[in-house]
Amino acid sequence: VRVAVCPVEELAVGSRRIVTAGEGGIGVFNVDGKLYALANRCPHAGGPLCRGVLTGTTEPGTGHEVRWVREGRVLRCPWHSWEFDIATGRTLTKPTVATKTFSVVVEDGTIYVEV
Amino acid sequence: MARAATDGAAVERKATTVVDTDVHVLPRSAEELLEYVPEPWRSRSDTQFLGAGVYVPPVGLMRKDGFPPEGPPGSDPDFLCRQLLGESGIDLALLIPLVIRPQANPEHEAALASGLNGWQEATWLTRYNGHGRFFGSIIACPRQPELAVREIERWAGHPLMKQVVLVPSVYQPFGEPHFRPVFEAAVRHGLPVALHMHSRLGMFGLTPVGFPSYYFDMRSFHSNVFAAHLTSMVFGGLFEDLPDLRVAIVEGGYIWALPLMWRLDRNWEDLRSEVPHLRRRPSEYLREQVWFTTQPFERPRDPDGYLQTLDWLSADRRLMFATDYPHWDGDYLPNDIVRGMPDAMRERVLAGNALELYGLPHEYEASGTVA
Repeated sequence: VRVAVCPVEELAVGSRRIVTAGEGGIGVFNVDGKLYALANRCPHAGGPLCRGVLTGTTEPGTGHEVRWVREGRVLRCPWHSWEFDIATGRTLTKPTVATKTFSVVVEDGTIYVEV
Repeated sequence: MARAATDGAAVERKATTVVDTDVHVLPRSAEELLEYVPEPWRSRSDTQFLGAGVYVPPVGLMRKDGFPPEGPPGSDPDFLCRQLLGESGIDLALLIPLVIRPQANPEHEAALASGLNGWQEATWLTRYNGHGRFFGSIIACPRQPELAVREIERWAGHPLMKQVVLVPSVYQPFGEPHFRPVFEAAVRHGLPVALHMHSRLGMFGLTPVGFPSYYFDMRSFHSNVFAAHLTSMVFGGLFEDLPDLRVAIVEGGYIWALPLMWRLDRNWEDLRSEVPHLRRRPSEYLREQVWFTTQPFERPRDPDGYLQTLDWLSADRRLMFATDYPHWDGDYLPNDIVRGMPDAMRERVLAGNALELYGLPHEYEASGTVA
């Protein structure tokens, strides 16, 4: 099933829409001009994942240095702050746990998700 | 079940199927609380409120969708009702206000605790409680036992004050004799005593091997704080001398209590002569007199081992559901937490155990409650 999201010009870079589809909705994100769609349900404890902040994450540097990486590509659940890769829907700490992702298409100026 | 209301219309009554034993409400501002605090304490500038001097988790203290249009999370009754009673499906909520932090001066802390109780009673238990689904806690400062007893006496008999809450951030374990009058006062008035973790900075962050560097360490050590208190309470004879004492461990984990009981029993077999005042095995006091809340829930991966563990711990008699609303680490879907438990245990964990421990109503008026 193809679900209409909005006209392409209404989803500016850095913005998101949550559409009614699937279980609890689907979040559609415009990250630097690329579109991603994820289920709005956190596989950890059922939180509204797509209402979380899109941010970066940490990586170990040399010694005890901590590096800030992947800015704008990590979605954090608003309940317990579990981190998800915006492109794959996989959690960063337990990559076998993931939220569902959907393909996004643009046709005649409208964004659709394939459910 | 329905009954006739005074205007002739039927009032629908709903059975209590989910009790939340750990809900944190806040005043809209510090000023709102301080109105209830007498001088000279009201004007003290060193008062530590929620958010001040706290080891805040790196991801923040609150769930991100828990902020009402105005004021902090947990301060807006309509917003709280919608999220907690509505979306999470909670029937009755036991409030544990954690607005004030442990203060350096125990008389100061006792005065703030007293103000907090007055504020809680006037707002959440009265003005915001038209539906009657909120129940309260008497907050007392255990480091000043005399004032703690006075505060318990002040509220004892209030129909909505269902327990005494002590912050376990003290300099000595609760089995020490000078804490005894606080527990005796609770028992005298038939009130359970809940121990709920609070911010732990400075000396209160002490672990058996020193002070933690990370929030992660600190949080992981909450269970050890409770284990140390319970051990002291058993061997100090608190449970033996006060057989009606009922203690709830809130937000401190659960599964750890099992190996603790095994170890205490083993040690008692070897060392009983040091504590001849104990007439029963240590685990028997813990099994009979201590309750636990679920959040943050630990779930081992092996479902059979998990059920066996819950059974060994008598979860069907002693485990109570809690969300910890509106905190970042809350468990907001009751059915997820009891998933995999046998039906009878589920019902006991979601409601039955808390109804019994706190004497809460088995049904309530469902009309005019939550949008």
